[in-house]
Amino acid sequence: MSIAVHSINKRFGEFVALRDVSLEVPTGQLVAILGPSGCGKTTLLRIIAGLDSPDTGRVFLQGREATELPVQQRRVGFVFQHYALFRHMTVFDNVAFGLCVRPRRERPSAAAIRAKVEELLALVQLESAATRHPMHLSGGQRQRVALARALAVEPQLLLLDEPFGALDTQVRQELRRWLRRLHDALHFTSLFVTHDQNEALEVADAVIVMNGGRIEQRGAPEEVYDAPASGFVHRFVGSSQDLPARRTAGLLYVGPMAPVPSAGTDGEVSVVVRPQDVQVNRAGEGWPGVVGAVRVVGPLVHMEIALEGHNGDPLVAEFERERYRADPFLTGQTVCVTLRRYRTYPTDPVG
Amino acid sequence: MAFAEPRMPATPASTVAFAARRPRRVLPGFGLSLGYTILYLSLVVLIPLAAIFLKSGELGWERFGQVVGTPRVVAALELSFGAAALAALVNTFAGLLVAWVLARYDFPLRRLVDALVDLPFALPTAVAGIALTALYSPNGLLGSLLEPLGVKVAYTPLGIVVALVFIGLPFVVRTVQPVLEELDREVEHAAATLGASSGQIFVRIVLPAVWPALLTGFTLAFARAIGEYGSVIFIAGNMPMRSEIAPLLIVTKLEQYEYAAATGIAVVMLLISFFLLLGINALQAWSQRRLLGVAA
Repeated sequence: MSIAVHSINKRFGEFVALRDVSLEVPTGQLVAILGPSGCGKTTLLRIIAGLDSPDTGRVFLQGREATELPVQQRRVGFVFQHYALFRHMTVFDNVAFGLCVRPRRERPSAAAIRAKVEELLALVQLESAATRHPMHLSGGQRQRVALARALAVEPQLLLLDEPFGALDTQVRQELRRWLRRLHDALHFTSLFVTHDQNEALEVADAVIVMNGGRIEQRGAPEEVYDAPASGFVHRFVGSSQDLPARRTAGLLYVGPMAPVPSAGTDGEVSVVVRPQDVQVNRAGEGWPGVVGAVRVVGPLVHMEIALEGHNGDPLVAEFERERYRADPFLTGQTVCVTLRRYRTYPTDPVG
Repeated sequence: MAFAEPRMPATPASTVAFAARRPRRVLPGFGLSLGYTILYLSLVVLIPLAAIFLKSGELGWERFGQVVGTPRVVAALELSFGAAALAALVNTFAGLLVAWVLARYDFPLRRLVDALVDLPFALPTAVAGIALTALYSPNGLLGSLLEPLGVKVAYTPLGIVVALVFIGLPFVVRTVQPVLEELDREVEHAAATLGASSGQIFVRIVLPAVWPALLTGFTLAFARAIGEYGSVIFIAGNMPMRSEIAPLLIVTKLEQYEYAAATGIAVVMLLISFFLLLGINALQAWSQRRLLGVAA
């Protein structure tokens, strides 16, 4: 089922949750809405599901206007961050709920419901837990029950609100890959909300980055990572750091580094650079600095460099561990820094 | 150089012997607090109750049977328990409704209504009885409206139920309201996305969750109503065999210096109440376990 949302505005009292948000999700795609907490991503999802109503704007599902359609009739599957399971029911009854509440003439027979629930429990690998209560399941198992429950009514559209946010890293990775496979196997449209960039980049066909109730960028994961549309997106997706710079007459001056040609208006700008794009040389051209703390993070090495005349946080350079070990730096050593790749944005202290 | 693989100190061979040790409680003072609880319960509840049994023992089995077996006593006991059960039942429904409105909706004067609920707790029961009697007597404000319809409230068993409903309402509201407020709304939203109507959500999701609290509220209202005296005697009319409640009969016996007979009736009331409450509590514990899925 395709989703289209046209100029949605929503405020809660003084707080503006969504400002003129429009988006389209074609049938069959798995799209992630990525943003910090309070950016309006959950509100957007709830409006699409019909759990909240927009102040202005319209929602279309499968090309048909659904703005006024009650939740019950939208037939979307919704998965909540904290599972929202019916705790007085067994796992089986939880999954069967959507089928059992149908009007008598639409309701499948008891045998058909049983078969359907068993099929779904097999799909989420929880056949053995059918008679247990949610209380006795782990977080990952609970979320799988919630997914099976949402899938029982055969929704064309699956909405997931930070579905793995309350789980351990390990379980989270496992589940999101499993969700991707499920999505490919069952051919529905999925829209999921997350504040975890790895989750969005790894699973989604397209990523929508939101900030302050607005959509900042929409694109394929690598597009959002490689060509961020704004300083916010650059800083939020992947790790990055800011260096102050100045553009004068088409030349960009970053600290004492040699000026480079740069198009744009003159004045103060922010240079945003990712740690792996920081080039550290023992001598020569560049911005001189002193090596600070060095930390091993799994297969990577993070090295802090205090840049000369720079008052901000030390710059972090990232190396592959094998390469670093072959040619290490010493704490206190003087080095020269150049940037392999960076982007400039108008200076915006808030980000 | 700054780069170093993390080194772990060599683990020393464990030399600690694990002696069997009493598990330590997080909060100290279990012995003291339990002792105090038992002492307190004994002084306040058990010893006075035991005295009732002792006093009624003076009757002997035969006299005891004669006292509590008279049609007047049996009728009074039936009325007391019947009216109390009926009033508690009415309160269960009305109380759930009031609690729902207070927990779910925000409206002007909500705090005032919230405070009003507690009034029957604080009001002297005699005042409640007199007010209700004045309202429902044949020439009272409500009584005069009901009279043409052939409904008599004051000086009938119906009046007793009305008084008991009045004093029992807060028990249900105050036990159910916090549970309703604590309910996770997302669970109801989840049910709605699965296609459940508001009615289905209430019956299948909300009601099972508040059921144990509702049962507790019923029990409290019921227990309170069984022993209620002050408000009832004004509105009941107190006609033997028709609108005379058991507590009044006990007082009557006391006034006639028949102490043993009075405690005899009291013992019967006490035993019936005890077993009824025990039964309801068992039901409540069972439904609570079912709700949390512990029994499975």
